[in-house]
Amino acid sequence: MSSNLENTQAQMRKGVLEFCILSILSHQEVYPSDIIARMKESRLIVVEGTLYPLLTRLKNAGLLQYRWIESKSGPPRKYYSLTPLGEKFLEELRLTWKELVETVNLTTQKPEHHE
Amino acid sequence: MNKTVTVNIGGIVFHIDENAYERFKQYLEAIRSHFTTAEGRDEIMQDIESRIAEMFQERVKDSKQVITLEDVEEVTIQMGRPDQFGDESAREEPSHAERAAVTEGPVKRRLFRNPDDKLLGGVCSGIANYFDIDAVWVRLAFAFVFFVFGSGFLLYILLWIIVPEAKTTAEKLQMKGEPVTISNIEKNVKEEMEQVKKNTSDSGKKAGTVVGRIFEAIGEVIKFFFILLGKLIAIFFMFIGIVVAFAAFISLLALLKIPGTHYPAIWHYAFASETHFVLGFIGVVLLVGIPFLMLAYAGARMLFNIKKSSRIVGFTALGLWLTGVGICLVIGIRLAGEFSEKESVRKEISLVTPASKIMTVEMNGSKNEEKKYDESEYDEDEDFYLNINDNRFFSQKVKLDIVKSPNDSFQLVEILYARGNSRKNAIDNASHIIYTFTQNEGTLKLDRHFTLNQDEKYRAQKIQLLLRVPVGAKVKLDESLKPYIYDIDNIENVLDRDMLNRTWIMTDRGLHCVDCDGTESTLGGEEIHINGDDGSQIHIDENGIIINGSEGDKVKVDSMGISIHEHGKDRILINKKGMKVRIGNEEKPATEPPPPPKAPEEKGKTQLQSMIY
Repeated sequence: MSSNLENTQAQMRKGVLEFCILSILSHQEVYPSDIIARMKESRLIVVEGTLYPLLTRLKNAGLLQYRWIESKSGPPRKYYSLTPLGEKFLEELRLTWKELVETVNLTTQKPEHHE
Repeated sequence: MNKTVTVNIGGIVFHIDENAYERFKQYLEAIRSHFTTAEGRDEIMQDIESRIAEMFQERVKDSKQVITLEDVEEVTIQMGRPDQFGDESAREEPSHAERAAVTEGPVKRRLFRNPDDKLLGGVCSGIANYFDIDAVWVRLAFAFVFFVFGSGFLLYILLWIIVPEAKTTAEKLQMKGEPVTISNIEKNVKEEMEQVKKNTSDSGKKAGTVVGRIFEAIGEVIKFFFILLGKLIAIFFMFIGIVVAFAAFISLLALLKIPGTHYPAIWHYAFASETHFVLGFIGVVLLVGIPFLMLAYAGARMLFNIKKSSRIVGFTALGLWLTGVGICLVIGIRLAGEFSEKESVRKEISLVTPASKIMTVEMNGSKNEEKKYDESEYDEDEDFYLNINDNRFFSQKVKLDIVKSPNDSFQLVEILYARGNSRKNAIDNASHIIYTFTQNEGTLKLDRHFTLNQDEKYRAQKIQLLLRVPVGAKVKLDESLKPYIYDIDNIENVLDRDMLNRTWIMTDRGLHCVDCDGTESTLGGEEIHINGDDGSQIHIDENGIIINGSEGDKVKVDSMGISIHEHGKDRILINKKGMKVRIGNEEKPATEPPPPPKAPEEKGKTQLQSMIY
């Protein structure tokens, strides 16, 4: 039972993962570690390894771009930002999210009213 | 105390404990195999490595300069195990746990070159792994094919180029047909590590002793020579490959630049159309040029130590080569079809019998032309060519024979041969041969060549001429016939070249020489008589052999024995009784019959020798 629960939770998180990452990126140019820090707070990501393949895929899809920035302490870092296509994509996601929240609220609250 | 290893992670150097290194390596391998099919695997690996480098760097301080197993554990927990990444690769394929379950049965093997067990490029070893047999058999098979056909070599080079090397542990597992699971990868990596450790400790032991060091030095020298030899072979490959491929492609360019101009090869005129010829030519150039180009490529790779195999190059080459094979096959079969049937057409022309009953036979044309054909410039390959002046094909495939006429008149029979795609077509082609000759009283002038109209093709046309001579009539064969006659039957069995410039009479038994005094001839059936230029003679008949020297010496061999006379004075006689030698007028007693006493025989022999030399 608990593995079933975990699985469902993971699925739900996974669905919004991309949306969250794109949102974080929409404010400023970000380094992956920063994203991870933010995501860990919200428990959306458990391990860092999840992020890199995701970023690569979004980049290959033309939603993200990156540039190398020298780092004081270590190898040069990739700083990611949204492409115009990514911004459009994010806008669509926001709309969908808004709709989703409303419908989910509506559907999940109904039974309580009846009780 | 712990041994450390120096590693480069994301461009930064770290010292890492050996056990930590092992653990870390396993971890990276596990991640890599997790993303085997994911898009941009290398990029992901790079990102992860640089991130790990960063995390390591945070852990290194002045007081603690070495990455420990603990650090690695912490970092891997932070980064997560591959099965915790979950999402990305799952988009394209089942996760590892599922895949392992699915592929529990027979796993599909993939063909890789095996870098762990190789003599040259690991091709044979890879094939052996693919078929799950011992590499020795594959190598033997290749060696056999190499020695028998030589083509095994080209095949090997081609496979070397096309088949990728198994680089990662996952690929090595696929090569061996083992399921790619994390546990398998870890097992494999561990095995490799142990192998490396064993090797290093072995060499350490060896280096300890003086003998070991000497062996090592010798090994280095041998290694150097092998590398040198390899480079030389590589240069040789490159040279041969580039030269031949270059020649092939240049000839192709030349062909495309000036189509239809003077191509001496009869083949140009044998094709059904210009297009066929050009296509066929391209086919041959591909067929020959591509393997040599690949040879040059392989040489370059060996020379510059290019390990990365480009499958695109290999497949392109293979494709082009197969195209060449295809073109050659199609054009070749069509061409062969045009030559499949052979037919002949016979024309009999009566000649006027000259009053003198002597016919002089010669070939048409000036003396200069004769000289051209008689000497080295006469070239068999060029005997079918297009004369640009009057747009006709010329061929010198004309042969002449002389036979007995069935009646009492001279006749010339032309047998015209040609090939074609059907018997009818062959007959048609043969009947288009145009051949002319002229008779002027007692002189028959034959053309050196026959001609064809320009719209005809080369179909192995040739002419056999038969001159029928009535019994009692004579023929005189002119010097100019030399290249055109072959094995004319005659009673004396005189060779063709000696039949020229002589007059022959046709008898019931065949041609008989009228003016054959002097040089060599045979008289009658069982006798041979040869007259030497210096007056010497050799006569052979049923009685024996008589040789008369120019200065009166005489040698006679017959059933009685052998006798040698020198100018009527000295004499050697050998017969059943023994041997008699006379020098001057003094007669020596004949030696005893040879068998029992050996010494006298020896003596006689030396005497004989001294007389002869």
